[in-house]
This record gives sequence, structure tokens and C-alpha cells, in this order.
Amino acid sequence: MLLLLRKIIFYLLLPLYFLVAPYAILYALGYIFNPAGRELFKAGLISITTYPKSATVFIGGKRYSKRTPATIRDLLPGIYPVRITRKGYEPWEKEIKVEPEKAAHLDPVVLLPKRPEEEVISNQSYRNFIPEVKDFKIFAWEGESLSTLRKIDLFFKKETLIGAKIPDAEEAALLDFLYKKGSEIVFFKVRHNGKIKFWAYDLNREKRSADLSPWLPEDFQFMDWDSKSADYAYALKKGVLTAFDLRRRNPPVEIAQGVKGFGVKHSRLYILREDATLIQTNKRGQNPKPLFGDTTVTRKIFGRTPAAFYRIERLKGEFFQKDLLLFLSDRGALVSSRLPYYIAAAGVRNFQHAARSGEEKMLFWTGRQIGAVDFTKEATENFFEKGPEQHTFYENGRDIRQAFWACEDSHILFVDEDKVFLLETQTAPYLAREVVRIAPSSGIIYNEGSHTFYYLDAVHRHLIRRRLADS
Amino acid sequence: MNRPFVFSHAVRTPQDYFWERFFGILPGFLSWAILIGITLFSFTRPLYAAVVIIAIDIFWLFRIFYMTLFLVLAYAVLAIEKETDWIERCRLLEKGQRALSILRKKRWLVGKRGKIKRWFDFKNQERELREALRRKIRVPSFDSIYHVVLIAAAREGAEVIEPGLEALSCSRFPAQRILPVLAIEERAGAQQLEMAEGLCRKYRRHFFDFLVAVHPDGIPGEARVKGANATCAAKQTARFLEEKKIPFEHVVLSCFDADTIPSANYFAALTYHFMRHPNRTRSSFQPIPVYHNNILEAPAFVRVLETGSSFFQLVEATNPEKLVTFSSHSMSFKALVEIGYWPVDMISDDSAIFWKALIHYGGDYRVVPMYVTLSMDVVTADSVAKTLVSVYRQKKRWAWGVENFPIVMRAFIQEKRISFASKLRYVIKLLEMHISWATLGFLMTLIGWLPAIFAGQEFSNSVVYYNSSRITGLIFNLASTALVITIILSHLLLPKRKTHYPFSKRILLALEWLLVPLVFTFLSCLPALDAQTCLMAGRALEFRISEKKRKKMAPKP
Repeated sequence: MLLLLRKIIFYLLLPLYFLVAPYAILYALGYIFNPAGRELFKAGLISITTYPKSATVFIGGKRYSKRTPATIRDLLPGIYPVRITRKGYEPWEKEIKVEPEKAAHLDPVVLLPKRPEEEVISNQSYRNFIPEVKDFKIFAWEGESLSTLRKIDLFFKKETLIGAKIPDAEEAALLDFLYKKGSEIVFFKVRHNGKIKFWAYDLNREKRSADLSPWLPEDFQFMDWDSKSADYAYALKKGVLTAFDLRRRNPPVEIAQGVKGFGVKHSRLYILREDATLIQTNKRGQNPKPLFGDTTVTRKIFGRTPAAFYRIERLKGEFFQKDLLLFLSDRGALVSSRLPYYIAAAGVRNFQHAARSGEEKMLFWTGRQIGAVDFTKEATENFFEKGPEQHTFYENGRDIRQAFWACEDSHILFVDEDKVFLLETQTAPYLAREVVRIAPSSGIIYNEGSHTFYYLDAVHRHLIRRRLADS
Repeated sequence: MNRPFVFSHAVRTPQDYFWERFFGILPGFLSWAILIGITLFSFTRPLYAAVVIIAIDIFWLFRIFYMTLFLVLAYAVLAIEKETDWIERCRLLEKGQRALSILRKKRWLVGKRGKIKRWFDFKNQERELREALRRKIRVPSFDSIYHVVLIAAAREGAEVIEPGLEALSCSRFPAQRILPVLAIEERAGAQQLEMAEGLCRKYRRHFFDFLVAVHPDGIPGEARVKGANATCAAKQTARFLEEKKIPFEHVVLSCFDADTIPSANYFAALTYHFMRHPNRTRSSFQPIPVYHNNILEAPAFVRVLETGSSFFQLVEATNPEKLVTFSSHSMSFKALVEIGYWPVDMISDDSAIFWKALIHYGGDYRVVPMYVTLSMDVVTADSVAKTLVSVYRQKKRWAWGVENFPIVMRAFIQEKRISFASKLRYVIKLLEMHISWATLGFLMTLIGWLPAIFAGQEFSNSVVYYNSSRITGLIFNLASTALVITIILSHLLLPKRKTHYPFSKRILLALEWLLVPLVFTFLSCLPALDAQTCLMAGRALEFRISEKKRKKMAPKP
């Protein structure tokens, strides 16, 4: 009897499988049956995650049953007005295009709180600060004198005046500073006794480590150092590259001549010569190793963009890709070692690689625009050549001074004049929402790990910490 | 067929060699092609891979429900027949037509008392009796049936073998018509012979007699396999039965491992099935193997694995048309002699004997499922790591049943007596079983997720990426209901101990079934793939004795 039952059930299940499996496959492929038109459509979907979660989604005015994170499936191709709301947050709206068989990602949508969560870190009025939190410390100064330099300990919530301990700081007027992310050294440009001086300051030891003034010409073109080690700094002037030993304070050493540009990373020096050869040496400029074999290519590349010098940055390649080299000229031309070589012709102020997605995803900005290049993806529009995907996200800037990848590289937080904006980068149109006004001529410090940023408020120039997104 | 087919890997002609290698390579080739193909597709054509994986997942969901349904039904039959008085059944069978009214009356009485199980039991017996009468089966006398119990031992000691003999002596079937034959290897040494003779002296008086058969070492043409030992012992037994003038058609041979402990009902049930079968001398009788001797002492992953094996056999028992013998089982002694005993150069003697008989009789050979249990040891060693290695080797040896495939295929090419439809059914079953065995775990637990993990941007921006993971999640959720049923049945099947299990222990026993994906993939699929790859490469598997340890004496039946 079991045998008979087995046969019956087998012959029932077999046709059922040939019904269910194709249905499931069609569903998986996005086919839906439109009863109105009595035809099969290839549907699309919208995937939405929000910071914070549990936001309500409205598609075309209709409320979706599930809160975020949500995937709205079975959408006929077309444009859908999407509205996301959550109590205590500004509503977010955008029109999203749904294409057949494609998923539109809104991942994540950052909802800005109506009453932002802000914490006053210090009631002192500051002029500016080093744009990085170092071991839970921020270094800021109140007045023109370097002696007003303070250390704000975020952990113990304590402020300490450290500028007074710097020799001659009282008479030193702080003009500018040079800082590199991750570095333990900052270079202060000061006017001391009527002369321009460059002082290297060790942020870990909280003391002045070297005075480069006797050797560093005022009109040097460009200065760089290895952010991971504070032993050497390098300066370029009129084709001469000089190295400064910050630890031993030995007299500077001329590394090379005929230098067009350089960069330093992980104790390696990269030098672009005027004859368009590119070499790599150790930090003392010894053991040169050519990086580009064919100078006809590099001559064409660098010959196209007039420049006095280049700043060179080496970025880590993904998986089995070679590392990427970027060259930023004094006029803001941005060139890469990969196709299509020229990213921007002029005006680029700076660039920054993504924190989460890898160093090959990079944003750059001019005074007016913000763009991004993703070297890991190939642009689909290119017909003859494959090159990286390049986007311009924002073109309405006035004086863009800083930009950061934010919220798992899905947004860009940037400073334009004295306002901070949050820019979406996932689906066009790319909305930029004003977040806060900051003190004039100051910047922000952004911490991706906690989605918080620090700034000086516009009125009192107090140091404020603000949460950008609740993840 | 022009000449009798020799069921062996040893081939005589170049054509035979070609087919032997071709069909030896085929299962492994198909398994690897599926695994590598879907893996490559996951990287190069993730959309197609996702579609194929959905189709496979749905297929397996249907199959899991199908198998679970029959697992429950088979378990119900097992539970019902556990309380069957098989001796009485045999007696009633002898009575023929007169027994019908007795059975009807008994059924009415138990029905009145609300004893559902017994009611079903009597109903079933009545149905079987009617069928026997309808088919005019000549039922042999119960008192004329003899049982030969061939226990093949390689190096096992008395502490492993003796519980089985003890169980035989306590069997409900009269022990005076049971003949134990202890088959030992000459190469095991004098100590083994001494042990065997000691057991013989101790137990002979309980049985019809007690034979000790010593298999000489180094016989040309033989490999160091259990089949060679058993064949030698069976030949000696045949001579003994001839001397005693016991006709082979009244003898049922049970070929057991050294650690096998039959239930008290086993031989009574076997006798019944033998008596009522119309073609009893062309039949094997397959019980349900359970591993209760030391299952509670074994690590969790071993418990899950071996219970799964028992469940598989339970499900297989519901389809006798495609059933193949496995592990310890029984068969007609006459058939054994006619087909020329077990192959002496094959490791998988348990399944090979079925195929050999099927081919010898031109397709006129069947396996009769019996819902009675035989208990054996699970593989355990001194440490978890050693146990893992031993379990892996044992599963590989079980999967080495794939070695039958090329031989069966060669036989089918030559054999004209078996219908094409039957051949096709057997081939599909064999091939599908081995390929599923080697690939399913990898597909479900590893490869199935590759399109989602390594999806390029194009694929991760597609509707398929989202919907396929949703479908897969739904399938796994539905499949988990089958897992719940399996957990419940595993608890019911585990040996009942006099000591009460604390609640925490029961929860742990249930939770260990969460190991199924890992256990299934690495201790079932991987050894199967390994075995098929060895066959592809033409490498013979070495016969190793599984290490089995018992902390306590095996439970009495």
C-alpha cells in the first residue's frame, strides 16, 4: 500500500514541480502578471535602507506596509515618487526611476533630525583646529598666537593649554598649517620676529620637534611627508627635492634634481622627473627603481597639462590590480596612472579615497564641483575603451573646501563656504541638503565610524559635536 | 547473453575495459561538471546560475517533503510492527483460509478496546494473507525454516561479537533452528581463532550448531575484503547443510557485521516475510539499520549522521521496487549459492550481491523491506579528530558502492532478459543517487550562495539578486519544518534508557540537528565525491575496518 501511495504522490508532485519551478523562476526574474493589461511585465524593485531604521515609506502616495529596511517589489517600470518619513526627522522625497529587471538602490537614505543631536564640546571660542581627531583629542587654537593652542580631550572632557609650552610660541603668529591625515606631525607656518618660519609639531609628544626655517625656503612649491612615520619631510622648489631629517635634525639633504613632482607613502618616495620618468626610492632617496618603462606615454600624459609641479599619491589596488597613482598639479589637473588618465583638467583642490569601498573609489572637488571616480567599475557608456566610472555629483558650489565620503561611502559630506552639506550619490538627481552653518574660515572633522562630525558653530565658534546619522 | 556475466571489475576484453572505464568515470565526471559548472556560472553568468539554483532548491524542497511524508509513514509502520507477534503471524499464515476469520475476530476485539496500532497490524496481516491466498502461494512450514547467521569478523574481539550472539540466543525464533557461522580471517592470527572457538564452545548448545570458518589468506584473485571472507564461510556452510540434508530453499542466510545486534523479533519477522513471499528464493530481505549500540556515547555529528542514514533506509523501504540491499541484511541461501556467492574483489559486497543476483536472474530479483531493526555500532575513536577521520573513511567506503555502476552498466549492455524500462529505471536511480549524494550538500550550503556573494554590480543591481535570495530563504524556512519532524522522529527512534534524560540533555539532542548542513556537506557529500573521484582515476579503495568503541556493553534487544 505504501508503494501505491508513493506512486500516487510522485505523479502528483511531478507536474506540480513543473508548474511551481517555472513560476518561481519567472518571479525571480521579475516577471509579474498585470491583470489590467492581461500581460506579463518585467518588474523592477526599489531597495531602501535608512539611517535610522524603521522609517515609513510611501510610494506614489501609498504607504508601504513594511518599515525600512524594505524592498518594494513587483513595480511596473516607470517613475515613482518616494517619500520617507520618521517621527523626529525631516521627511525625504525623491522621484525614483524603476527599470525592468533592475533594482534601484536607496542604500542608505540618511534622514536628518529636526532637532539635531548636538553636544557642546567646549565653550571656548576657537579660530580653527587640526582636521582630525587624534586618539580622542582635538587640537585647536583660539587666537592668532600659537601659544593659544589647546588640546581638547574628548574622552576625559578636559581642555589643556599646550601652546604655552612651545618655545617662542608667545611671539609666533599662526599664519597657516600643513597637515596630512593620519600623521603625527603638523607643520605650523608662523611669523616670528618678522620672519616666516616652519615649525614641525609632534602631536603625540605635544612638543615642537623641529624648526625647518633655516633650511626651508619660504617659497617652496610643495611639501610632503610620510603620515605613518615622522622622521623625514620633503620639500620641492624649482625642481630640487630636499629631505629634512626631523628626528636627528641633521642638515637637509638634496635628494634629486630635475623633479617635477613627488609623493611619499609607507617609507617610499615617488619622484616624477622633468623628463617624465617616474622612479621609486627609499626614504633617503637611495636605490632608485623605475616605475614606468615607456616615457613616450608619460611625456604625452604630463605634456598635455601645463604644471609647475605635481603632488603624487599612491592608492592601494583592489584584489589583483596594481596600485593606482594619482597626480595633482599646482593648477588642479588630476591625472591617474590608469585609463583614461585625465580625470580633471584644472581646478581640483583635493581628493579623498573611500574608507569602506577601498582606495580605488575616490572623490575629488574643485571650488564649484564635486565628482567621483571608481576605478573598480568599468563605465558602460564607453564604446571603444573601457575606463573607470566617473560621475559629477554637484556643480553648484561656491568655495568647496572639504569633502568626505560618508555613511558607508553612499553620501558625501562637504563644506562649501561656511555651510555643511550632505550629498547623495546613489541615484540621480543627487540631492544636496544643508546640514549646518559653521564658523567662517573653519572646517569640519568627520568621523565615519560613529557618523559624527565636529565643527565650530557660526555664532560663538564653540566646538560642537553633531551626529550625522543614526545607523 | 552469450556467456555468463562475471560480476567483477576484472575485465577480459578491450571492449569490456572501455566500458568499465567509461562508466567508472561517468558519475564522477557528472558530479564535478555540476559543481564546477555552477561555480563558474556564478562568476560569469550569475543570472543563469541563480535560475539553476532556484530550480535545484525547489526540486529538493519537493523531495524533502516527499521523503519526510514517507519517513513518517515508514516510522508508523515500524512502530506498529514492533509489537507484532511474528511467530503467531507465521502460524496463521500456515493455516491459510482458516486464519482469516481468526484475524477478523482479533481485529474486532482490539478495535473495540481502542488499540489502534494493533488494529492496523491485524488489518495489514489480513490483507497480506488474502493476497497470499489469491496468488496461491505455497507457504512452507514454519518448522522447516532454518536461519544461517554469518558473522564476518576481521579483528573484532569477543566484546564486540558476543552481544550479537547473546541476542541470537534470546531471539523469539527458536534458536535450535539458528546456525551461527563466525567467519574469521587467517591473517588475524591465532588469538582470533582462539576467541572464535571460545565463543563456539560457549554458545553452541543454544543453537542448532555453531561453525567457525577460517578464511585463508592470499588466495589468488581475491582482495582483502569482507566479501571474500563471507564467501569462504558460506561455502563451508553449504557443505555443512548438505551433510545435514537441509534443503537450501528452506534456509535464509543473514550476513551480519561483527557488531550487529538483531532485535528479538528479527528472525521471526524474517521467517514470516520469507514464508509469504511468492518468489522467496529470488529475494533479499532488508531490515532497517539503526546504530543504537553506542549512539549516545558518540559525538553529536556522528549521531546526526547515522540517524540520517537510518532515516534514509526507512524512506527507501517504502519503495521496494527500487530497493537495493545495504549493510547487514538477509537473503535466500539457495539464491546465494546459485549466483556464486559474493564478489571476492569488491568492497561494497552488501549492494554488489543484489546487483549480482539481479543480473544472474535476468531482472527477476527483488529486495523485500522489513520494518524491523538491526542495531550496529557507530564509528567512534579515542578523540573527536580521530572519530572525524574514521567517520569520513567509513562514509567514503559506503559511497564506494558507486563501483557497482560500471559493472552493472556492462551487464545491462549484454543482458537481454531485463527490459529496457527496468534497466533505465535502475540506471537513473543509481546515477541520480550517487550524483545527488556527492553534489547536493555543496550546492545547497556553499555554491548556492556564490552568485549573491560574488555578484558583480550588474547582478547585484538586478531584480534576480533580490528575489532569488528571497525564494531561497523561503525554501529553507519550509524545509526547516521537515527538520522539525526529523528531530521529533530521531528522538522517538533513539534507544530508550532506564535513566531519565534531563530536559537540558533533550534540548541539546534536538539542537545538534542544526549541524545537518555541515555534517551533510563534509561527512556525506565530500566522501562521496572523493569516492567517485577515486573511481574516475581508476584507483582502488583500500578496505579499512572502522574503529568502533563502546564505553558500555551494548543494550540487550
